[in-house]
Amino acid sequence: MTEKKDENTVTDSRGGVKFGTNVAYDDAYGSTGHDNEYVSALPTLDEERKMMADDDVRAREREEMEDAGRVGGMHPSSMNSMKMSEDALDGQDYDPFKDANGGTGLVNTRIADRESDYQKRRHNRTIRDDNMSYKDAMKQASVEKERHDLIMEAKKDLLDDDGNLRTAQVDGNGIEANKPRRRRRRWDDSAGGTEDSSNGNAPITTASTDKNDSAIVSDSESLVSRRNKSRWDEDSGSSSTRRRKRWDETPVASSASAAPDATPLVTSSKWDETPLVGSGSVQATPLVGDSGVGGVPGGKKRSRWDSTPAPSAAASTAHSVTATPIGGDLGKALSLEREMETRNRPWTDVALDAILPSEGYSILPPPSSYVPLRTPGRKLLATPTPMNMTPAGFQMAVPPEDLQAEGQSINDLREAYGIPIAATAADGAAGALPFIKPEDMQYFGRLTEDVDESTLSKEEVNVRKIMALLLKIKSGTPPQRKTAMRQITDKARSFGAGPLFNQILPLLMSPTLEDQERHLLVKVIDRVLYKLDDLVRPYVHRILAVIEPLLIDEDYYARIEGREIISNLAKAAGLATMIATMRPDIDNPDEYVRNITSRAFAVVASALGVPALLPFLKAVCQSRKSWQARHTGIKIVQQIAVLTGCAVLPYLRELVEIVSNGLTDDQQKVRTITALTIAALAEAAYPYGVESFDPIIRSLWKGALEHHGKMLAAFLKAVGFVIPLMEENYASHYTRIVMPILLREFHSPDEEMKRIVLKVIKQCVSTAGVEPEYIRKEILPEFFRNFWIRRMALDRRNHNQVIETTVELANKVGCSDIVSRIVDDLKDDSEPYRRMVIETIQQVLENLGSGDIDDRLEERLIDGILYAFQEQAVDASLTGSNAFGKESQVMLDGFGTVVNALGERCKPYLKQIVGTIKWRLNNKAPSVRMQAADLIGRIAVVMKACSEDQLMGHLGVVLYEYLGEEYPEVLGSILGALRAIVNVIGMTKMTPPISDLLPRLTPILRNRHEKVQENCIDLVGRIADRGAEFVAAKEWMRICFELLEMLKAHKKSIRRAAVSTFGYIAKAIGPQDVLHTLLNNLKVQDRQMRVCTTVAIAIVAETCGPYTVLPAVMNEYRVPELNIQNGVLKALSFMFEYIGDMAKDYIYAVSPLLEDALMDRDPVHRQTGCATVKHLSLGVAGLGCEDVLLHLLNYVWPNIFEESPHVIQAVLDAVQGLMVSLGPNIILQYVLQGLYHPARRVRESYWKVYNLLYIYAADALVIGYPSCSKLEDESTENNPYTRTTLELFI
Amino acid sequence: MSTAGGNSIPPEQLKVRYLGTGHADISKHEWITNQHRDTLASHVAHYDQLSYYAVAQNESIARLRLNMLEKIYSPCGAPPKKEDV
Repeated sequence: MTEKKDENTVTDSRGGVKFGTNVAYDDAYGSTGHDNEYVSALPTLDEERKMMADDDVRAREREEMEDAGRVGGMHPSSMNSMKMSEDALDGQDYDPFKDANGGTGLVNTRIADRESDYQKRRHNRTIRDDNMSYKDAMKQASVEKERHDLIMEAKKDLLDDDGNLRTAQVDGNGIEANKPRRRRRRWDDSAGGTEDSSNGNAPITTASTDKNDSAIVSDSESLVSRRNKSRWDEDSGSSSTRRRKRWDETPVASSASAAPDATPLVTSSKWDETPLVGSGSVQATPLVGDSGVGGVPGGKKRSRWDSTPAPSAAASTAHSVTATPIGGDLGKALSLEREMETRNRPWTDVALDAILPSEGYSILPPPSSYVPLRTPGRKLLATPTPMNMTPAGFQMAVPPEDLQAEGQSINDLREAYGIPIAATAADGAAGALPFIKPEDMQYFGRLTEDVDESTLSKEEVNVRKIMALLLKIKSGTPPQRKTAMRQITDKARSFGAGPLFNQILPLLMSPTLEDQERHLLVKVIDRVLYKLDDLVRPYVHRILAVIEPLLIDEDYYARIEGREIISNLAKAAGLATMIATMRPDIDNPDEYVRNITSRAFAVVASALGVPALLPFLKAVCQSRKSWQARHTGIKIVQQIAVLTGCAVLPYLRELVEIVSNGLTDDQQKVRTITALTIAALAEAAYPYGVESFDPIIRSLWKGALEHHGKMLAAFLKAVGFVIPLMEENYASHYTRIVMPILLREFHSPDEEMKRIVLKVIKQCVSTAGVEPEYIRKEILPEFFRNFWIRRMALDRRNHNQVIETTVELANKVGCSDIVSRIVDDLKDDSEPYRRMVIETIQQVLENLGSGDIDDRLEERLIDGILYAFQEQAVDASLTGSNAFGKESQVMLDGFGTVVNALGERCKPYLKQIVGTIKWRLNNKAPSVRMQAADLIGRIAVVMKACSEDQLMGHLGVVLYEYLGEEYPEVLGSILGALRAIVNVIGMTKMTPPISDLLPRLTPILRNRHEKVQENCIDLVGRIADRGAEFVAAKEWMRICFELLEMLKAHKKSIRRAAVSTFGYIAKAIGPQDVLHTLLNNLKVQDRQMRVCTTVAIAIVAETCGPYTVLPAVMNEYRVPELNIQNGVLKALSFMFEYIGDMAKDYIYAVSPLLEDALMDRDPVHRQTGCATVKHLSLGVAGLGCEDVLLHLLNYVWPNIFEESPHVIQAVLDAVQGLMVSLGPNIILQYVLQGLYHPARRVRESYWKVYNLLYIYAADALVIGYPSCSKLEDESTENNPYTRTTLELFI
Repeated sequence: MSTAGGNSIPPEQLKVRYLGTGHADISKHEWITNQHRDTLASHVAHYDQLSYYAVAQNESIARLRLNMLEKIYSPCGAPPKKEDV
């Protein structure tokens, strides 16, 4: 046999490797790092996968965002992004530390860096004044809207259809067309001045030229940036929406002259995010090259949130109209500043080209000595630029830290950077503040100034206090954070809402904010809100402006947090304030604002109750003034449905009525959202509430018949969700009406439409009223022609939807109809397509069984699935020791399900299947071997059912030979397969005989890999249980020693299996030797080891009878060593837990030992003793051992004064156990002694026990309460304390 | 007396959940009042006890039940003015 294998290795290119030869196993362990480690607490990869898949809400929200194209960069620590960075490894110039550049963590946790363009639009929102009246707010909103409209109109004039500037009109000269291209280059831009002119002919659109730019810069750079949303991304292609938006804000006056599309200074490019550290020259990057126009003040557009004044007094650039964040009129100052900024923007090259004559001017090259000015603050933060990024002539200045002599402290360095030095704990200052990050200096800088607090006004002191607390919360140590959090909560009302929010909110909008910081600050808001209550009212708008974006964050938990805050805000501020605040945003021209407002409204509705919002919604949805308002109103209803689920049912009729007019709205967008809303409502209401949809059903169907394209998709979606609510005959009627449309749309090229059609088909088909015959005739042929094509298998969501729908169809028309149509595709060339087939067949067979599969089909099925199984591609990326991927899993599950579904009918094919398996077990790729072994585990039962014992015996031998496998994952699977065979075939018939197999397993027990351990211990345990007599006692003892190590495995199932195996072995070879081993093991240092040993002792006691174990164990207690005594006690505790009422025979024997333990000095000893008493007393309850239990109670009782949480818990548990076995009234008599003890602490302990009694046995205590007639004599006459009823007798 | 996580229930919650529980500063009057209420509730809840008392007092069971339920409101009268009781 081995010779054969050798041949294989040589001849066959793909398979056949003799173990341990030829393959480089170096990468077997640890090469890919994170997968190989033991998993102790965190979920494994599989589990995480499952978790992600199971979480319905999350998946849905994710999909929704994908639909809207709003998913930005993923969180860098998520699974997906890890995969992406692994992919990126293929590319050259991969920088493994790239992620670490942002934020403080190992990965980039800075929120701004992974925001999508859509999410960045939060910075563009206008913030209104805090105390603006509703009227003014509405006025401002309408002014803004008008401005937006005007700009849009102006833009229409200036731009052609593609959004390009109509340069021809301005230039009037075709030859000059490539000029702007060269002018555009700014010197501090990355590309060198000696640019080749080959790019000159590039189209003028910004998007494409920008791409070219980065292409010149470095190919690899752009490669990386496309993969991982790096910061470079933000400058390239995708920023068109932002530009347009930014344009919106431009005052109309200047819009005609400036070229709208070419503004390279996007609101929040990476460079703008650099915080304004102390120095005044931060913004001063001069635009020298722009032929004289560079004199325009270089006011880069900054987000208003950046405008928190830098701490240094030197910050006085022309453009920074310093709006102190503390002042109440922050909003006004901010809007003023925005105005200034939009007017003083730098001229763009395109704009210059447009207004300057093209002749008589030339573009000068930059002076060779030119070095872009970088401010010290920037240099500190700037990520090191790769060499190929920097233009020739640029040199990094020597950073101050290199100029400093060694041995200088951090403070010297910070001084060199111009950062004021904060008082630190080392300075011994009173309020030891945490380190202030340079980015945070603009917020917390003032704390570093040394001021005499007595000279400050009360407000200023207040502000400083809040600042210090916030700093501690944001960057302090956990204890600092905790106390600061408590203080800021407690003093919230005295600080006042204004000062608090004036500081918190800018921090939350900081461009360098990180996940953790955001979480903490949001938590602060939450706590503060609770305290401030109605004082927050004036700040609702600003809070919302900051919190609303959380509702569309890609992080699930951020969304939850956002909801929580907004709902608390709504409860604190009240409905009227919320509506008044959010109303002006409802018809905001920016879709982004409307989107988040609608979500916020839905949260408010779920917090304050939907009915309270209904009148408002009704008014909004009927708004005549603007379609935006109607759109938003309807969207609110949709979000309410999504958010509250079936809780919409009581208001379903009203909600449907409110949106019903939208179906016939003039605006297409309104109609679409209405249809989607109805879909959401119907989905939430399922399976009730069809009568609420009656009024709109006609227009819904009419819409479905009339519309085309995207609109139709929305209407079909609504129809699809309404149909399942209907009664049978209606459902079938409407299905027939809608079916022609669906059949027509089968051909639609739009992917979204395809998915919706599939979904609707599924929904229609699953209703009871649709006849199988109808489906067979009308739907199936078209369905299979259009959707069972290779292309559908390529996209994940299409793939899943096709499978789902096909399975639903199969449920209606039966298994064989569907399977016979697709079974031949198992031999298709495309592997993804084959997988889609297999997945479908698997699910269909799982649901319906193989009853109606005839012989011919059965043959084709097995044939096809064998083909697909053999032809599957090897997971190239997973040739290491990793588990195989999802693809192989699908194949494995499919094969297993088919074989199990066919059951005994498989018999003729088993030989062939086993042949394939054997062949693959010999494959070179470990994942293939593993899959083959796993498959044996799946089909073992069927093989037994087909009585193919001989075949299994053969497989057993083969597997036995493969036990030398090097890859632990594969070895684990092989062991699993062996176990499956042993399970079905039995110990006696097993080949190789157990006596050969087990000694081979003993060394494998030493393998540290989790999967190997788990499968091996399972197999050994099974043999010990059923076939212990086949193996010599000596071998079992050897295994005992190996098992000891397993007692400290990380995985619980391994520990459990090991412990129970001890029991089996002890039963097989007698407890003495095993017990001896175990008792010796109590001496070890490792606590977990000892704990597991005690469990094993207890199990041995249980399986072999306590009397065989107890003498030795109790004897061990005499060893004067704490650990051992404790172990013995614990073992007794477990033993009594396991043996239950058998304990009555041993209670008198162990009570002296327990007396001793309960009187020990060591509290842990007493604790364990109490635990033993608990189990003991529960075991012997009602068996007449009250005398000795009472005796034990006397020893337990003094311990009720213990304070350590574990000890007191154990003591109370023991008391509780005794309460069960002795009856509560006996304990009550003990308790009565101390309830009114003069010492408070005594009383507290006694009342604790009293409450325990009361909670568990109040009724039984009635007869035990003391008689209070004595008390009555002392007190006044009108207090009858005697419980007279108890004195009655007949 | 512990939550699902194994932590003990904070006193306020305990009081809300189980009205009759006490604490170190409870007055004797309050405690005894609770005892009375529990006793009466127990009698009302156990039909056999109720019927026993009915026979002993020569009252109808329904009357007795009503009396007891009404007595639960204030079984021991108003709390005494004196501090130490």
